[in-house]
Amino acid sequence: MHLVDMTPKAAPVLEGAKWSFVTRRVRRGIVETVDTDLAAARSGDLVLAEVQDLGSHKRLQLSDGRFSTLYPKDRVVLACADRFAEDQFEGIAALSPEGADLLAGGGVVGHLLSRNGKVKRPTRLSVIGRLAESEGRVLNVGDFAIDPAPRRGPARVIGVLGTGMNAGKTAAAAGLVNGFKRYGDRVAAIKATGTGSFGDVHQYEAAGAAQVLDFTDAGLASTFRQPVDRLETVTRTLLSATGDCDIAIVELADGVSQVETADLLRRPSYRALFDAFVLAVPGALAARGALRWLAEEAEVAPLALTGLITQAPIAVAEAETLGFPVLSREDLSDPATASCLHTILSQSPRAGAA
Amino acid sequence: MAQIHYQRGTPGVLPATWLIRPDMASRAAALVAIHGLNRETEAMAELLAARADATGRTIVLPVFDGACWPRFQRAACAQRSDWALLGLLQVLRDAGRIGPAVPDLSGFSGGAQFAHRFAWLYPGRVGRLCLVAPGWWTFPDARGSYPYAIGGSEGGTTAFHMRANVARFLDRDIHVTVGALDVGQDKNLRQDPEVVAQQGTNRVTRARAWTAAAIRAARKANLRPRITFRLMEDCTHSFADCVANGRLDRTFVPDGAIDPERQIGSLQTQLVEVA
Repeated sequence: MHLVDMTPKAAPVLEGAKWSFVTRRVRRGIVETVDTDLAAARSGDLVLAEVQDLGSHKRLQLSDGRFSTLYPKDRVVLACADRFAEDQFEGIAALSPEGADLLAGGGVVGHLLSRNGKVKRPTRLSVIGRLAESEGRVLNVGDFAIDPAPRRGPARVIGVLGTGMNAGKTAAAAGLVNGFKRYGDRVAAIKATGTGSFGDVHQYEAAGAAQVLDFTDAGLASTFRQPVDRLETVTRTLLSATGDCDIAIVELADGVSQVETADLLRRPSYRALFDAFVLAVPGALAARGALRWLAEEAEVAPLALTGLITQAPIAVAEAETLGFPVLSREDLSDPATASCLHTILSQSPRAGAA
Repeated sequence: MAQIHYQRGTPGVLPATWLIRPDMASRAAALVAIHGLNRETEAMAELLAARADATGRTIVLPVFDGACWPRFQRAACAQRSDWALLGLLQVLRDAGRIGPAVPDLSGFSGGAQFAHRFAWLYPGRVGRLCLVAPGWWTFPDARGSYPYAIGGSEGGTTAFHMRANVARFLDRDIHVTVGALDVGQDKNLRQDPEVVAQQGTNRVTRARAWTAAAIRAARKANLRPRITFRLMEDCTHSFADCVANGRLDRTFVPDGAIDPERQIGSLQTQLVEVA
């Protein structure tokens, strides 16, 4: 008796599939087979799925930077990963023959744990299997990560922190990119943590970054529930890949007290990668809380406050009493601010050296 | 003989520019010369051309026309003449018209107003500073409000930028000069009570007061002041007069030192070289 090889060939089932943003580094030519052992799924595995029931995400971010409207029965290539988003979904990197959830429009699939009450249920998917190479080894986005470069990163590194989602971090990071670029610097923009999505990357590019990287370039589809050692290595790898830039603007996702962000900021070795931080906040009280958390937990005093608060002059006036300059996105994109920040950085030790 | 080229600008974006190129160029930094409110730039270019040859330096003379930059002397004005000069220098560097060395900056009258504010906002983008007979100044003093000083909440981020940059701004060669006969009160000389009380009634007293304040501020910042003052005998408030009677052209466009550490380029490279 001999067993019949039932492993499906990938090419026929992949035909016409939409490859999502988080899979953009995958060399598609090495995909040969489809593995159907869904219970063995781990974070980062490449997943072929079919759209069954449209929910919150009605579009998919494609690997080429465009949106694609989703239709029932669309085949999509995604990455299995965890998701942490206060205003959307919480989910884990797990697959089931009964189906899976599209946890993020950048192409993250997994199992929903909870959702924000204002958000519809996620788009539901049938999982065809995990993509594998000819020998049957399941492919993972980590297989296509950039290698750490044997050189130091940019001379200056500024971190952008926030109190949570939608505090204005990405706008602040883009503003800084634009200001330093117009000052005459070659600027790298890095999204160090979060869930894979091209929205932030596009904003950095639009602001004039000479080089744009995120954690998906370092082999993660999402940083939620990843070991903090690995996350520190990701930031080091991304910085080392931007060594020909004068300065890097590094955005950390979510709030400073989010589990992974907090663990990173508590590490002196991680803080030592940065010269300074700015903090995006939605209001004065949030600023007060985040500043206190940063001082007590991470020994960090940001250079300035920024974010949504800058839309409200009355809140700015209150926040200014905390003793920090409050800079809007427009202020940050002023090359005179970049010049001023260079002055301040040239006079200060690195953030982690304090 | 130095060649004087006129380069068209882009209205509101890049100023038109007189570019004075020496017959024998040296590696010394370019010099940026800023005109006054009368905008007599062609005459200024002709008066400076000989110095381009004598020093081997390229002279850049932007024209902040009145239509696009009516208040250019404020630098961080509504039309952002500071951004215009930053952009112009980048374009000239990219085109190879000037080298990577940080340029020196000299300004006459309203041009000196612009020059000291520009250098204060971008201390890493300017070398030596020569300030000739501005009508009024921003003082390095936190006891007054912007734009006359750098204290208070007026001036928004510009005052914040200047407060942060004080020491770096003052840590350079700064030469202040004014004609001894420049004591009149013409229509371009601001006479607000606040200015008169802080700075004096004419350009000579104002230049002396600012020089003294700058020296005090430099010492307070633990710097050894490199700030000098010269009164040009027999000179009025005229660039041509100051060149003819006070040899201003030599002060305005001095021989340029070659400093390999003051280059605009890779910050990474600079830090490695300094280390």
